[in-house]
Amino acid sequence: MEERVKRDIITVIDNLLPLLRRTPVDAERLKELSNHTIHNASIYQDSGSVKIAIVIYALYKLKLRGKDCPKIADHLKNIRAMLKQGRHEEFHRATNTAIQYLSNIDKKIRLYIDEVIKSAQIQKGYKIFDHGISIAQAASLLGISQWELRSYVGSNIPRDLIPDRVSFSERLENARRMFQ
Amino acid sequence: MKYLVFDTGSIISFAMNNLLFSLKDLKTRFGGEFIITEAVHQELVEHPMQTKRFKFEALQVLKVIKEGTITVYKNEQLGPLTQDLLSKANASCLAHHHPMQIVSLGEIEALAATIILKGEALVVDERTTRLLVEDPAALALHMSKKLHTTVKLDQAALGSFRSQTKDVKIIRSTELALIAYEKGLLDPFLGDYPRSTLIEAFLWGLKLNGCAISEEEILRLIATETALPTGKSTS
Repeated sequence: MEERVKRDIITVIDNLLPLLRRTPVDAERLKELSNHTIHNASIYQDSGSVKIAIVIYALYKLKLRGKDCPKIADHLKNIRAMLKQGRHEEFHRATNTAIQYLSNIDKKIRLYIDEVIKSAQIQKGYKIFDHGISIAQAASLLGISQWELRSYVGSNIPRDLIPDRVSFSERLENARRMFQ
Repeated sequence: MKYLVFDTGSIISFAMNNLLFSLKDLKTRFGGEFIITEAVHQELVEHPMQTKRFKFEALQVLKVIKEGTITVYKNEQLGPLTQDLLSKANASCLAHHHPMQIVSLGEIEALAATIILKGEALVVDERTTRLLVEDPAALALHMSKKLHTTVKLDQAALGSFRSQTKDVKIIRSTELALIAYEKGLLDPFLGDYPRSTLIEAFLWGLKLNGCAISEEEILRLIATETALPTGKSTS
């Protein structure tokens, strides 16, 4: 893992832990922290940044709905410790455990939590795509299919479309020539 | 023999907009072969067959392949060329001196197939691949803005990539759907509505399912196409 990414994830967790002690939790700040990790995920495409982004985003969604996650702070401290000690395999295991913990919070809402995780993956995939990474690469990074990501991308109109060097008219004329 | 090569996204666009039926007729009019590669087949069919949500769409794509409308292309040259292009593409954009993996295997394999087959065009909706071939500076600028960091282009990698892809023409599923419209293939869906409604319907459908077409282009197209006497417009 790149040293810069490692430092960044530790900083994010250091910012996150005090937030979780407050009542009520500042959900929008949670969302900001999740988005921050996506910059690194786009550049370095390390699974650590991606998973942390998913954990924080899922936490944000749960907090928005007033759901309690009493042990998440312990999970995050463990993730931080593994990362700081350079124990990368244990770091990934700890992150997976945190995701699993969020999924298991309440068996009755297990399906909902799975949807939150899936939604987090898709949302973060969209963010990575929005940064300029291809849809296929973003989908692969998040472990989702292009079908899932494309249907989300289409319904989120980007704020700034990049103008095409090849004009639409030129493309259409090329297509017409092929089908004459 | 003429070839039109498709990447994953363009077929997904057609599937999600119930336009797969038009490919058979389009292929006949094209007078050649419609091609996908094995990596694209994996993304289109094999991957969603393991999920619940898009399984039926995957089966619909499979039907089109089994009917022979789309052919899965295999060639021993494809692997080496794909890897060569992929490594150059993913070395071309740098952030913090770090090369970014901006494209994946399926997209580049489709591009490689287009080069080997000297295809008429590559049908790709996906913005990043198109920009890499047509306007990499614009891609780097966009990424710089979004990542709040300067994204630089590795001119050696990019130059080599572009020299290999310079003859590749790119069209989108939008243009293909418009050809289907102009050939009258979508006329059965007109009903009592004016032609502008039909064009608006399928163009917005394509856009909302991920095809990079702007609202401005849609409005311009509606205005242009409905000014003509029939749906079989300019061809």
